[in-house]
Amino acid sequence: MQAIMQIENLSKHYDNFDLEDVSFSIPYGSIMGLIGANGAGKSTIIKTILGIAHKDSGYIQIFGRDDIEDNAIKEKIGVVFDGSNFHPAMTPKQINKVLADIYTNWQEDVFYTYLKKLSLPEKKKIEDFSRGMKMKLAIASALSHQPELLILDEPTGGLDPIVRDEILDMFLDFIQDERHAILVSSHILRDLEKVADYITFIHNGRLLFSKTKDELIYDYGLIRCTKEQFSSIERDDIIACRRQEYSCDVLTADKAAAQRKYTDCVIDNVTIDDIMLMYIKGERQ
Amino acid sequence: MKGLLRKDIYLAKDTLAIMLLLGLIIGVSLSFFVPSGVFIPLMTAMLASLTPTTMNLDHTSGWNRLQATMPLTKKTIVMGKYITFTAHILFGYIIGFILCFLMNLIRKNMTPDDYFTFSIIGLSFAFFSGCITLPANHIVKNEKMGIIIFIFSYFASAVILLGTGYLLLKVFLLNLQKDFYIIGWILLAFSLCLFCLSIIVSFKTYEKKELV
Amino acid sequence: MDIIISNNSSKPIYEQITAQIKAKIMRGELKPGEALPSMRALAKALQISVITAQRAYEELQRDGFIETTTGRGSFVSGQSSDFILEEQQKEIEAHLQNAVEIARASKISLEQLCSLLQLFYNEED
Repeated sequence: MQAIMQIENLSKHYDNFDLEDVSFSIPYGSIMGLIGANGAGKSTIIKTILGIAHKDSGYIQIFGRDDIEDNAIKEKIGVVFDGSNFHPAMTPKQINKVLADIYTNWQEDVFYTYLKKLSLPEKKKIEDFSRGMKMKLAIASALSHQPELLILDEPTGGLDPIVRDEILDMFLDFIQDERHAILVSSHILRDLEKVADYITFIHNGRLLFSKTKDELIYDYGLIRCTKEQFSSIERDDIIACRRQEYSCDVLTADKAAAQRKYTDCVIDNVTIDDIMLMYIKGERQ
Repeated sequence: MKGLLRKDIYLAKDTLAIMLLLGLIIGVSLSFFVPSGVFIPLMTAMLASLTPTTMNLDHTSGWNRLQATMPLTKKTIVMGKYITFTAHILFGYIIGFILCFLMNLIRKNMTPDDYFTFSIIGLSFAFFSGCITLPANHIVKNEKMGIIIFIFSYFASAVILLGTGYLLLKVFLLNLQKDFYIIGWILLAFSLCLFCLSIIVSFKTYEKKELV
Repeated sequence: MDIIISNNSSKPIYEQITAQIKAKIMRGELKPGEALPSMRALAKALQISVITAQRAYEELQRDGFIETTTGRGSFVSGQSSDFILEEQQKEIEAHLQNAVEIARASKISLEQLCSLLQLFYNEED
């Protein structure tokens, strides 16, 4: 599958933080979840992709071109940032007018349909909106100019399950067109675990992996064993291990093989949460 | 560009009424002691403060980083603020002029030369302040810094205005009575030149800027 | 078409989908030639990722239960009855194997096992 976005060896240095050599790509028609702890570098990646922060080195290709300053590319990208996106004193109605002047393909009817569907008042000031309403408005705005790529930074943070569900539905709606794709960063992994096709995991400014989600949750496994059993596990089968007081958890990339090899150990399924925890807190091999 | 200007109009609308009322109160109370002409620089300066205010709002509301992802060139974003600013001060100048004219119908203490003087002072003062606030706003990191720069800009433009006047009189040996109009036009032209030059500075600071 | 996804099941989601669609085809709820929802529509309806839905369809196609043509979508395969028989036979084999293993472990003879089977098979009539 061809990639809508391709990132190669992206680096960005700050005084107290480095993003180093990050590469991944997003195929057309898919949802890419960008995960990592707070401060791992997810926002930095998104900002460099969007040209808001300037990359030091590397290559970011969107729609086949490495030129985010080109307005033709920006026309086809919808962006949602964490927290606030619009002036609190403005109303959705005013935002419609402003964005209609900015985007060539702005569709007023689409925007108003979203407002209605998401029960957002047209004439109320955004400062009177709840956090969930603000986020829904931001996503509705990002979807109303016929974008092909949607980039969202922590869109579900601090939202209740009902709003999160509505947002996931909007994502899946958007992806019904296979020329579209979504890049979404989050540290709330349950959301991404449902709908993401790929997971890219960033830790301390470095890429740990970028894989299909199914590979992670179906192929990876957690071997739960005693210390004696642990010593019998081959090093090649260990991605990371965590020694607890009474037992030892081992993350392995091949659950089926582990089940055959270590018949006396308990082997559990993993969630993305487990994988992230093992990578960050465990000792890596 | 049109969208950005429209957004600034929406934002200005809210504060405009309060500002006009405030200007009216200060103007009326002042003009009993000094010529009615104070309305002109007062209203111009007041409206000149609208742009830095909206720029501050652009920053705190997250609009700045969002607009950077929209199909707008950096030139458009920078120039948009210059157009907004110029529109604001011209609007303030016209309001001030009308108020001054109405007040003068009662008080009758303004000569045509007074109108000229106050107009020059008001407009060049506003343009000088714009030279500082508009480029500086791209390096402002927080609200406090924004306010400090804003106050500093008014102080600095007063100094530039007086300094230029002083230079014209003492170094270029122009005569305040004889060269009255020349001095006025030179002041205004100088402020406009600096204002236009500051566009280049603004563009450079915006280009280097990284939005958080 | 009802498909129920369990998050607590040890079975991966794509297997849950394939198993349920196969069952529907075997029971005749889905007839040969009948159209299935598109991969993306299914993903949306079940709130799962497109790749998971895609994998389910790929396996159904590999096992001969459905046919997918680009641009037209996926349809229940015409000659799926042979596959169904084969599939059902496989399932029976697996169950019987289980029964045999249990019988061996608890020393139950083949005759006993056969009579049990006979008993169950005739019970229905």
